[in-house]
Amino acid sequence: MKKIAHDIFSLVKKEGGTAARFIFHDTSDLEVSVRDGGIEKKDSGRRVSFTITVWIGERVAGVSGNDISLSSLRVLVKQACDIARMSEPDPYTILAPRSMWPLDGDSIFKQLNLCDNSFVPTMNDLMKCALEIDAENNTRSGISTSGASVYYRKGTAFMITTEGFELSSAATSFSAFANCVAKQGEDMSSGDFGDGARHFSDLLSFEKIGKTAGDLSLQLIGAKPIPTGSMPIVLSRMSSDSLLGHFASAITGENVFKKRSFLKESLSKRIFSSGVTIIDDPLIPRLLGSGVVDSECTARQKIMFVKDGVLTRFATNRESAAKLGCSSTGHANGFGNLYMENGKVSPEELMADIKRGVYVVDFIGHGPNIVTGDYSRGVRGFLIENGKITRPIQGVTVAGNLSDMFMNLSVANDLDIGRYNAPTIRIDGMTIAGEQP
Amino acid sequence: MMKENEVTGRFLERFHTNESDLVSLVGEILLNADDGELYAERVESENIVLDDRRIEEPNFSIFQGFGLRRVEGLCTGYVSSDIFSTEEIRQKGLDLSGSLSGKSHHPIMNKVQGIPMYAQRTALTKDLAERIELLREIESYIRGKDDRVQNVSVGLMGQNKEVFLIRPDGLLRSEIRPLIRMSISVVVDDVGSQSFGGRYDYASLFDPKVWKEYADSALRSALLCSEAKPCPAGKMDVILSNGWSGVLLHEAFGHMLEGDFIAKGSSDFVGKKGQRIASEGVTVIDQGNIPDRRGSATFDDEGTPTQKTILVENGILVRYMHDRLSARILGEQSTGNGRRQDYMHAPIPRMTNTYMEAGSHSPKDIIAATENGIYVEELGGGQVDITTGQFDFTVKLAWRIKNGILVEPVKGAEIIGSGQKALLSVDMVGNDLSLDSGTGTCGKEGQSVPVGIGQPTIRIQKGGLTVGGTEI
Repeated sequence: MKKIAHDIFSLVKKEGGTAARFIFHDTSDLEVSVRDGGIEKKDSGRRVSFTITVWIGERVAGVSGNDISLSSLRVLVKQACDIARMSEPDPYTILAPRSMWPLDGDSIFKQLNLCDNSFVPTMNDLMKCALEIDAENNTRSGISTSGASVYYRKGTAFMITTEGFELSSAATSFSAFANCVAKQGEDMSSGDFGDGARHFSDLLSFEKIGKTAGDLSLQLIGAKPIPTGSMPIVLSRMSSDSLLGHFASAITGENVFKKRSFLKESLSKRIFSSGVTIIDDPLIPRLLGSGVVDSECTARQKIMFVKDGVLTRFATNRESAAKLGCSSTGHANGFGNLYMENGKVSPEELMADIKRGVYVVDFIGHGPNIVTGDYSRGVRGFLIENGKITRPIQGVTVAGNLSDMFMNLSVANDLDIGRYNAPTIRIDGMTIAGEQP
Repeated sequence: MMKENEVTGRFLERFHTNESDLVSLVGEILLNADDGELYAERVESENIVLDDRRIEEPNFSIFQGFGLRRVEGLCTGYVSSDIFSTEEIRQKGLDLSGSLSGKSHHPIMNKVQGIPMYAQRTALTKDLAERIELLREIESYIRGKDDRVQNVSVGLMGQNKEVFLIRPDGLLRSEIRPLIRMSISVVVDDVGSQSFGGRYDYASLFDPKVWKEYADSALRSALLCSEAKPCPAGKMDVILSNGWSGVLLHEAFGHMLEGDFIAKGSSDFVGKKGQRIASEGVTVIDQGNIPDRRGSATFDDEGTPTQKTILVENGILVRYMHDRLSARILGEQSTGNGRRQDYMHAPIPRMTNTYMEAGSHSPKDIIAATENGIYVEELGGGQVDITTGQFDFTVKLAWRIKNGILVEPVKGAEIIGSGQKALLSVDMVGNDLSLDSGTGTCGKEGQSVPVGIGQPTIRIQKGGLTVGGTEI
């Protein structure tokens, strides 16, 4: 691969390029789906892809493809240089200087331990796993159809620049899902559950995955609307990390300087209730979100974005950092493992004093408006009465504004980083729309 | 126009083979299978974005590869590769056979050719300098119109997708599918966006009459959203504007009519053929052979010619949408809805261009006849749980209606309901059917495909939907 990279770099030079970056991915996938105890689909594929970014002074262009023959590379490199030449000068798309590179990328990557070499599954192995998951629900009474899928991926990546940066990495991932439809008379409901991990041994048990999906579908059957009103909501761990996602997109530097975030003026201000801490740590071993550098060669690091409710930084790449007057936090490719620290009470204690509220299993529909913070989403879940979950609900939306929601949230102590990156969360004062009051 | 056999010739050259050898190789690999094919593609795309007064890293890409599918009974085996050679096909074929068991014969494919859907042979007709100039012109036009504008972003994407497929019975199809899309987004205090395009080249987008209309509309929407009041919550009459609002029909109704969900028994519409599932005036069609539309193709990704399929006629469910697999399981015919994102994926039943037929009411009369409700001018994206039929849509911009008059813009709402209940509650259908401007992308099982949607102005009477807003 190094040889190919050097061929590319000399082609770039010949075409008048002044700097270049080459990123190469080689990925193999295996996937098996089963339904009602029989095999539904077996899928395998190997794919390579590469991206070449070329600078001519301050002009930049990118090309990508999957044919690494020299003749194809020649065509694409020429195309990249032609496009760059025709484009406008862009002083912001630049790679990190050597001082921001990780000190020893290869050894840090090794410590992250993202590649499971102890188990390299065959199609038959995955088939057994999927059948095992489905066996939980296949003959379970009340369930009309059930399915399961299991995926395995092994990928290697290689990044090299004309400035001398070089890193190669290999990682594996396993994921397993179960889905069921429960039926009772005319009523139907679905239940889904899954888990993913870098190492096979870190996956939840197949019994647990299958059973959780089956339980959900059975518990959600017979859901009915509730009257419109204002009440607290409790986000289960299956839905609470969606708030982290909205937070992440609102503090992403690009959205901030392009005026597309409701948090654009909130740096150093209190945006969450006191006690709330949010951290991004891309250097936790064995997790799906872990990694050493971003695509601009900036070393990734553990960063506390919210400390005791106060927003301490925006998440930036080279460009947004330059525009916001700070230095890149290594977020050119997004967040690593963004999580919210535990609160002090158990999930049961968190909802104990709720007379009437909504317990959210998951949300449906698109996300909120990050520009204004306006929030309104459909909910699948349960009614809470006197601190206890009583019955399934449907046809219900919860609405508010993310600014208020962040300030009014309280947090339980059931964080499980890598699987559930936010604990159970309670938010008071939400508007619930259902039936006419 | 590009001759089909020119594209075929290029693929045969890439595989270093000829038609008869390839047919027999595919026949050998798919021996005793119930169905399957070799599908290959090569996609050239280019993209530029102007944002925050700056042209962002322009890019160009070429991706190519093939996928082999072998279906036995209810089971699909799929392998893909990005290496074009008959040796690679043979190797992947070995991975495929032996992975399944069962014996059958090939059903012979109907050899009727589709009607070619595109006049242009390539979308990529303007060089980068011309495209940058256009984006700059659009940006300064919008910034010049209103000084409250904080940011303008304009993107332009163009793509040529060459597809080629060959079945063991010797059926061979190939074509180039062009696709372009422009998006304009304007930030005031809130954002207004418009996007448009289709299966042709850049020429029409370069016409100022065309882009000015969308630029004006994005700015108008940004200004209105920035001053809009919170939306009322609860149950009320909801009027959906024509065109893009058809996204609700697509999500809340269309997906539940897809053959795979019917075959699996996971759709709420299983076994409801011949039954009333929508009001009297509601007729719903999926049509993959409308020229130039985003969801159109000459044939689907299994080689079946696209067609016009009536799904619901005057409220009665008449047909499901099928690919070859779901058609076979249910003993029906493929409706040309077998589509795939790319060579790495097996085809599944997908919508093409899905719309509701026009009715008799003028949109003005529909608003005038509404005492209390909202008129949804711009619907955002949405999602549906196909098992319960529950859907959820974001309302980007709406108007509050009091006594037949649009009184003020409102935003920040979500509309939820069940597909069947909503369509059974349609009590007025407008005479202004229009298809969307050519911007929709539908996601299903991890595969994204371009689709078209459309409808006339319709009214869903109180009780058919719930409006989720913050004002009680």
